[in-house]
Amino acid sequence: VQGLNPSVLEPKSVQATLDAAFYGVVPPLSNSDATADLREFLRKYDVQAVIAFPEGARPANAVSYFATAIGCPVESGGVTVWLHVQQRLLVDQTQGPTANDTCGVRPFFTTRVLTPANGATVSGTRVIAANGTDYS
Amino acid sequence: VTSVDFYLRGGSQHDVPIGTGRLSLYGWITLWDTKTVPNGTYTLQSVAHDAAGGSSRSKAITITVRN
Repeated sequence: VQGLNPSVLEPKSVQATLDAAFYGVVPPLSNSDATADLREFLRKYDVQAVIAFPEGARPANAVSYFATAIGCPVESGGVTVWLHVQQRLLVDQTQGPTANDTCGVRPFFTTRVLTPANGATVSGTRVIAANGTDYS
Repeated sequence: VTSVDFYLRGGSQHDVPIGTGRLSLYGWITLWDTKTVPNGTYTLQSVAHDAAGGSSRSKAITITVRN
C-alpha cells in the first residue's frame, strides 16, 4: 500500500538483489552492473557500516554481494560486519584477485553475454554464448 | 557456476527463456532460432546458477531481430 512501505532507494538493483537473496529467487532484470550499483548505493547514502544477519533463503548471496564490492567482512556474534565503508570505497575492491578469495565467503559469481554483441542485428538460427565466472 | 540460461525481453516477450547453455571452450553456448519471435528490438541476458542455489544475472544487451 502506497505510503506504508518505505520508498525504494536508488539504484533499485541493490534492493532487488538483496530481495532475491532473501527470498531465494533469481535476481530481477537489470541493465547495470550489480557490483558497481552497490558501490554507488553505499557512496550515495554515505553508509558507514553494514551488518548482515544470517536470515532469509540465501544469506551467503548477500554476504558475497557485499564482499565483492567492499572487501572482507568480519564475523562477530553471529553477524557479518563491514566497518569503515566509505574508506573501503576509496579502494577499488573489484579489481585484481577478489576479496572473496581470502574472505572465506562464497564468491559472488557473475555472468556476461559474449555473443551476440550489444547492438547487433540477428537473424535465422544464431549462436548465443555467455561466460559464467566465479569471481567478478 | 553449474548452468547458464538465456532470457529475452521486449515486444510481447517478458523475460522469456530461450535456451540453456552447454559448457564449451567458448563459454556457455546455445542455438536460438530467432524466427520464434517477431522482428524488433529486444534485450538479452544470461543467468548463471551455482550448486548452492545462488544465481546471478548479466547486464542486458540490446539486439535487433530482423528476419
